Amino acid sequence: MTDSGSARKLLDSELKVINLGLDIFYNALVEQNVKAMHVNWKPAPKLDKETEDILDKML
Amino acid sequence: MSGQDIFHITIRQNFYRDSLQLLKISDSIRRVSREILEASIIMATPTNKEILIRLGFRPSSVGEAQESDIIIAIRARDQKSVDLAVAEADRLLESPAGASKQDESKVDDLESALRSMPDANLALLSIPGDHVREVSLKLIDLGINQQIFSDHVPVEDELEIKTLAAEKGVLILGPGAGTSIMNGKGIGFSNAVRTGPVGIVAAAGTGLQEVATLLDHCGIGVKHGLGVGGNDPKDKIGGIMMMQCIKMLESNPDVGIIGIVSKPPSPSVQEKIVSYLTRSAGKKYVLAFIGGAGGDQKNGGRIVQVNTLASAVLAIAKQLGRRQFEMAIAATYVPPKDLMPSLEDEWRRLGPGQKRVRALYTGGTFTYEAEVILGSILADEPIYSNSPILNIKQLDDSFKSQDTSIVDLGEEEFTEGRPHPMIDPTVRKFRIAEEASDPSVAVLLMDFVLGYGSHPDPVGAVINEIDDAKRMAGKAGRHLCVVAHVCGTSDDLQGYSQSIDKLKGVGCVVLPTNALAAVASAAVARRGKVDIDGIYAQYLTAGEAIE
Repeated sequence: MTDSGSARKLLDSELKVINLGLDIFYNALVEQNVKAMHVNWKPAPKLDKETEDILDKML
Repeated sequence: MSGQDIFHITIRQNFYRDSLQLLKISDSIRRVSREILEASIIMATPTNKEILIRLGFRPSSVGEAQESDIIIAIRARDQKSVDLAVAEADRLLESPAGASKQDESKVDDLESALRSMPDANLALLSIPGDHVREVSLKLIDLGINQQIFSDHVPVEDELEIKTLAAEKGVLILGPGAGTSIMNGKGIGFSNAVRTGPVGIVAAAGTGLQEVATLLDHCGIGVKHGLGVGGNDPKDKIGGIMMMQCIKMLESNPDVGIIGIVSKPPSPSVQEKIVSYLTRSAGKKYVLAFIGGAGGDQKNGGRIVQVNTLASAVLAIAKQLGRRQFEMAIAATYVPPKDLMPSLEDEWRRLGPGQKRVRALYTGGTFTYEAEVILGSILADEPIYSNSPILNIKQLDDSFKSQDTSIVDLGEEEFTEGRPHPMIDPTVRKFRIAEEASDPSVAVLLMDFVLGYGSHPDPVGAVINEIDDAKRMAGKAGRHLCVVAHVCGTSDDLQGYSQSIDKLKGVGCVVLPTNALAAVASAAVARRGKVDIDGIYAQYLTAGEAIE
């Protein structure tokens, strides 16, 4: 671990959190007055096999 | 379950909502009509399909769904209610997820979040495990520390993520890290605990919650509690982040004493930790390796080793001073002379065939701690678990107990595509009824974890099932002893004393620590014929000097 990374400062700084996924954890941060952003994360839609094969051939 | 009920399945192809959104939708649909007996709107993961089949849905209908599909599963008394439920499910699924009100702090992609919060210093990830690598590597590039709650992350991905993060000076907590405390603020599943001189490094999420909440009961606060995930102290990861966290707390001026809570690390990682603590560190340490050696002290008592969470709390309090130790004894300890008489009525009411303990845990560390204690007290009988350690045997089927069984409902086979059991009580509900119907069962042992992230009323969510189970056993001429432990503080939103009162109201035995709950369960199943003083000397001490 390098001495210059963000981990070293984390416990001495005000928390600023990006929450990706379950919003229950975002709500808990807000309840505690922690600065937070919530990302309503979704996976990229899955392509059907046929489209995937066509793209494979094109790329 | 009536033979007249209608079981309906609709499959929505290639449709995604996260498990918590789907849980909320399922709850809403159940409230539409009293004639709707079950509504499970879930991603079609193997776990979820298995659970639907156990709830009575036809395997052939459930089996058609692919993993990227959503299943709308409805059990209702009539077709009209089924139609109503499906229409409501369609409406709720089509509503924009998470966008019920305009909120500038909620966005649809990571890039937007980074634009709005360019100085973010922590990301909390609870996304499907197979997407973690991609997101995590991007965040490491940006220098953003992470707590990864997601399970199902391949260990090769974890090693790649942590190796790169270590090179760049970025902290990675997890995968599988449900709990942390930073500057007194809870991240993920966590409790409203007071702030104080204690720092905790944990490869055991509920272990961190148990130690922090019990210290809170003793008037002792926690400044930082860093959860690194269960894989970190194993050889494959080599304790990369565990060592990093120990060093961060060693150099943190606000932390005076550090607890390290974990299953026993691999020998090489344990050597790394002990070597650092004895040669380079100067603070007081309590090593709580659940199921490892207990009663060790090194460096003139500066480093104490214990083997349960309850002992960790006593040892930390003892390190802090006599007054704190006395408070810990008062708040978290029940002496054997008080425990055994309080259980006598329970074991006297058992029928002759009732011998087994069944534990249904939501907390992984509680499961390990119970395995250590029950595995020792009941060593002469077979004990099974879906997550076995030491002398415990592997359950053939995680969904079916045998003999004495200790089940971790938070293990991956129960959580793929569904919320953790601390949030979603569905699986535990039907397991309570199943265990209680087995005439060999003497004791049902359970944990209830309060705090941020957990179900708004974890006790209330299953109290009717516990009451029904006890009544059902009573009608069959048996007595079902239910032993419970509530992990929480008086400031947790769910209400600590109210939760205990509810459990006591239906005749449960409630104990202040999980370790005591496990001891009590074994003592009841054995009708008090256990070496109680020996058990306490082994698992409920503050550590003894060896140097």
